[in-house]
Amino acid sequence: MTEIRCILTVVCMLAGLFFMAVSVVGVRRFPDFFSRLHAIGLGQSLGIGFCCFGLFIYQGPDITGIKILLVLFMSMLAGPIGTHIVDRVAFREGLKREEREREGSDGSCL
Amino acid sequence: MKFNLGNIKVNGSPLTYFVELSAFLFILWLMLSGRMEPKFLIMGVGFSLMTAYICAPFLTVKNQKSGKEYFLMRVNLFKLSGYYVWLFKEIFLSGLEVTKAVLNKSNVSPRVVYFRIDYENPTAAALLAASITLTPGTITLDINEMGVYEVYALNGSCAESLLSGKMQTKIGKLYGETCQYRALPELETNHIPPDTEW
Repeated sequence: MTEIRCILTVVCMLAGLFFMAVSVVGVRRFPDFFSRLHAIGLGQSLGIGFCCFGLFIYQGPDITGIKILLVLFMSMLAGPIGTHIVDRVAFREGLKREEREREGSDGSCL
Repeated sequence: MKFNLGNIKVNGSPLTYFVELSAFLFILWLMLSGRMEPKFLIMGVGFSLMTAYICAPFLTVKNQKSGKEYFLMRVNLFKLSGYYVWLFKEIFLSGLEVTKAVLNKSNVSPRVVYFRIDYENPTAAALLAASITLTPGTITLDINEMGVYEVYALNGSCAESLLSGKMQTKIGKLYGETCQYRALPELETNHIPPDTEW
């Protein structure tokens, strides 16, 4: 029983780390500011989600496990607000293509 | 129990809202402390009543058009958890989509899409905006007072799954609203041409 739980935990944590790594690669690869926000959102929702869920499985449904789920819930609640503030400011200031043009071919050299 | 709410219209009575809020805070207290001695229980009851009394007037949102006010947390929690389970599934699926886009380097054609759904309750509008941003591949840029959402989508399939209107009608049901969902494809703009070299 303990072994199954440990295996599930490791699988979930690895999935979370994989999504975070993909998110970092995406920030480097994507062409402009808004697409990079998409890449960040990937790590923010799926990366943190899988990591917290893995920790919850490892801990079991006791008081600490519920606290871990609360952390997950709070990050789900607060994450989109920060992203939204950043992208609304960028959109209203007219940041559409400048970023991509300034970086040129250098920005996509991964 | 008196709140300084003025003579505004709200959904439900302030007293039941106060009781609900204190019950919620007390359950949160029990979760965080995890101790069952009478001393801690009494402290928890006192503090949750006090916090609810102070915060209940602030936890209302106002519809700018009709001037009607709504309690922020007046929603069926079971239906909300059901909605979140569906949302997690949706986040996972579109996360795989974005992962593919990152690793393939090919199917990225960013675009801004528009749709219109005019909720009466501002909480529903905020929940929809947060859900869209939380789903990888779509980001809410702006909502105007007509209820038109500007959404930045990473590629065509992300935009399609959003514009199918499932999420919008689900949130409408959650808050008991019957309003018309309409995609606005005539406003769609491409910021970056699809043949971008990167």
